[in-house]
Amino acid sequence: MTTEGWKARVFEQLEPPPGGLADLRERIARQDELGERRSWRPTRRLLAGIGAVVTAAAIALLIVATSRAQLGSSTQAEIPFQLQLGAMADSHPALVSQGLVPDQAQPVVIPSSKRKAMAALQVVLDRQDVVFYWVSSAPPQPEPRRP
Amino acid sequence: MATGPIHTRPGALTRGDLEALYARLEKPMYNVVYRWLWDTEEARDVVQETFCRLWRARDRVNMATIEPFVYKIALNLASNRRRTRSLWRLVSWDRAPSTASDRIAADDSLELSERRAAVRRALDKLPGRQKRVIVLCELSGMTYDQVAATLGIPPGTVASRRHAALKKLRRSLASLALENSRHDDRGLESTSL
Repeated sequence: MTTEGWKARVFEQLEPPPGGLADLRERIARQDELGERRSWRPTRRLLAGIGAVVTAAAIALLIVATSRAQLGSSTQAEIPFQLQLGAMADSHPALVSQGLVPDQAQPVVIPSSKRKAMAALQVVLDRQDVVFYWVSSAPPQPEPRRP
Repeated sequence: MATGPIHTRPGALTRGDLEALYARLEKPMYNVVYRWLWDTEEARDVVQETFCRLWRARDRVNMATIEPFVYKIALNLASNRRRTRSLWRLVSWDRAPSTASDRIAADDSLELSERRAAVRRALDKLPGRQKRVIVLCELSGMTYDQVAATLGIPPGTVASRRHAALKKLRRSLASLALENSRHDDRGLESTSL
């Protein structure tokens, strides 16, 4: 048997069931009718667009809320850092008014913008007329170069 | 009804174009899909569904490459059906419903049925990518370039896979011919392939 004959027997062309075109016309008519009924429904693209807008708005609200929370906590940080001067509990007001003796509640205020660069620590001394604060600061950051 | 080389006309697919295309491709496409599903009704249903989907996509269709596009849809649908059927067989307690191909047609001779069963076994033994190529090349009427466009492979690969598939089929079916020739010796009819 020739190759072509062999292939023709292996790959014989079968006849499809009759009435295919009529059935296709019916299917398409049903499909088109269904498509018209669904035309009032928002398209997928419109729904996706609305979803994207809602998501973006939610993210924006979240950012604003988070920023305000951080701002509130930074305001907290500007409240003076009260150091207890236990040794000066009974300091004379005259000495205080002359500036020789600090007030009991002498604050060391570190602005919030400097918090990361500065730190304050009271150093306890034997002398009671001196209140010593050790304030440490990080070296200043160089200005960014302009292009 | 429109006739002629519809794939060369510019613009969206019209209803007339669709029906002309269906009239031209129904039989070859049915034969291609049947070799995937081995079921008359399912193959017919897939062909119909393919053209329904083509109609839905009519505004986006490139008329110059409509045949590969249509066959791509058909093969994807057929593969999905086959996969679904396998899953059903896997999970179902009952035996899967018998398909039309399981039953011997009343007007088929025993010889024809056995030959078709042997061809089916031989085709199903081929690796998927060889089967796709050989079935499209031999049954769809498309050129190597069109088959390559359908499957997304180079035309050279189409040729080599086709050659490999034919070789395997010959080997599979030759062993059947050998068995049948033994039956000949015992005075039974031969089913030479």
